[in-house]
Amino acid sequence: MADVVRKVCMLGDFGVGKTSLVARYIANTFSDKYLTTVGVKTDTKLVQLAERRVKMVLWDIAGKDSLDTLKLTYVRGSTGLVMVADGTRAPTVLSAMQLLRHAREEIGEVAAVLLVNKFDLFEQWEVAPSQLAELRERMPVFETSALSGESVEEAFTALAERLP
Amino acid sequence: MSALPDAVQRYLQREAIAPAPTAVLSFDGDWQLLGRSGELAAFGIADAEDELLQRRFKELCIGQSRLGGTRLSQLDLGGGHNADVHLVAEQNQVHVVLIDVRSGVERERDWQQNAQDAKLRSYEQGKQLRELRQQRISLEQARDGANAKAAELTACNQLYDQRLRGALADVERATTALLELPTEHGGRARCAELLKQAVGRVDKIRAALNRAVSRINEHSGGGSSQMAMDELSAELYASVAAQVEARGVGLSLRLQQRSAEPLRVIAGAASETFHYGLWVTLLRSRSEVEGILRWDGQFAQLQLLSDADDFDLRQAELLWEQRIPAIDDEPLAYALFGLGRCAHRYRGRVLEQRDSQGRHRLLISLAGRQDEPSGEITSPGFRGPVGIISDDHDYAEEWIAQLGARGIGLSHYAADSKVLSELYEDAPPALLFDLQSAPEGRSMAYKLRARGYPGQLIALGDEDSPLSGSMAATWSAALPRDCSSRQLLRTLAGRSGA
Repeated sequence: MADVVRKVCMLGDFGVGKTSLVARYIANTFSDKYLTTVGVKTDTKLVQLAERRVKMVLWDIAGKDSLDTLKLTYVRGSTGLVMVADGTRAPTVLSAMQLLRHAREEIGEVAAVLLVNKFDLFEQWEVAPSQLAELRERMPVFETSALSGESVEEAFTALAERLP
Repeated sequence: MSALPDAVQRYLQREAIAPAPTAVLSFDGDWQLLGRSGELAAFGIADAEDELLQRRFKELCIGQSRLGGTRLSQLDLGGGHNADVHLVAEQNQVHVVLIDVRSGVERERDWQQNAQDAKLRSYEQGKQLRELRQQRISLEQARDGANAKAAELTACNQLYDQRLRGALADVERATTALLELPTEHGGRARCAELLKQAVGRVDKIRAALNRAVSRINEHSGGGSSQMAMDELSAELYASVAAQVEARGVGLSLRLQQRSAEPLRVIAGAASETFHYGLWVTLLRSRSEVEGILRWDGQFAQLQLLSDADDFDLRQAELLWEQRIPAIDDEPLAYALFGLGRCAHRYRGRVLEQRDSQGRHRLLISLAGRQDEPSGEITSPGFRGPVGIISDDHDYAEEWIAQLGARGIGLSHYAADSKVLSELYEDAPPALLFDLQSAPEGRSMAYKLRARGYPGQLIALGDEDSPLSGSMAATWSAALPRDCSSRQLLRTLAGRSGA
């Protein structure tokens, strides 16, 4: 089957690790230096699924806890959303859920996954497991680590499989 | 640098966009590149092939209106180039206008970085503050608990003291009365000797109690009181054992070493029974024996073992069944008599066994707690099965043996995240995580809970951290790694609501 191109946006509060996750997924690299993202950066990744290949155009959007008008422009045309939260900061899960709601109001009920990142700092996690168990009933949830790569590939693949 | 298309120039004027290096890529309706103009080098695309530009900007404009007015700000084009991207429509083509915003992005990055660093620091400080508050609350709770415990132990100490003072007074009265008995009533000298021994033993018990309780009061902590109780139990047990063994009877209290409470209770009850067996039965109403045992009636199992010639099992059974009175001066008889009466009252039972060496053994249990203290009696309520996650094979095997002896199946899993799905599928009612040999069990337990695993997750380790902070929500309970099977099963049964 021919390749399909799909736009996917990374959304989440600042410092949750969106850029690091993309770097891990695209180039299998990681830098522990936090450099804030300004605006948006795009990358592509070809994902081989069982019956097709999906070219994901990943939009790494600067972290915010809400989507203003400019950011809404970014998400237009997306068929998938990667919501990212930081397990060591419980409020970022709520931010991710708010961003998801805003985004879906703009672009409809597109596929989405939640990546709760920084699992390598598990001992410092603030997110209660019961909270993730509840969210899991609504969407795929992955405990990821951009540092170690844990569950990163698995999470993006899961989204790719859900893209139209 | 070629001139920008007229439509773009008009657009820039109309939108009052500040002068900055600008480049334009013009595409037709199928995203075929029609032309490029402006300062292309400022965006690193001067030498880019048409095909690359077509593919890249087509992907970039997915979902964006080609009718114009679309603006994507601060796009990172790679290679240190940043641009605001505007789409300007003109008849059958669309101009992708790139306006250099590098300097603005750098300024914003600095500002944003500082602001976010400050937010993160503030968040961390808030978190530390919350933790400190929580620690203060915990310390206050611990202090209140210790004070309450100290008050309770002080009251307990007073109670012991009162009882023992009363006992001593009774012994003294009894001694006087006995010494005044005519010799033909028999055994005056022997009675005096026995009572003297009894007084000495009561003194020893009281001294042991006082030492233990004073130590508990000094420390006022759970661990210290446990230790003091262990020592007390050991002393009492030694006292009882020595007395019984002197009469050719082996006494074995079949208890876990760590079970201070039942050991203390049984040792205390048995000790008092043996010490007072003679004179209590002779000079006091038998209700005193019952009283002692009722007060200490929580004990579950007492084993009397004898290969002595004078140990008459039949007589013991008759005593136990209350069919014959305790008229002998053999303390064992009175102990059995008293225990038997108490056991009957509390629906206890006695089991007679003969071991491989032909020795007799009486297992006496009281219904109230007969399922609790002994390591050989199955704990109620929890029937398993259980899974253990450990990288220490011997440790896992030990648990398999211990729980197997209680009829509870246990499966051993390696500490590997690959077994998570297996664990989730099997979903045993309880999982034990040996955190010493497999520290990754913490994250495994978290993941299981985060996937809705409903069973009990028990942390086995020698530190407090499993239950601290947000991780408390993961674990059902934390126990020392070398906890007893009884302690484990009690925890499991308690938490399963059994």
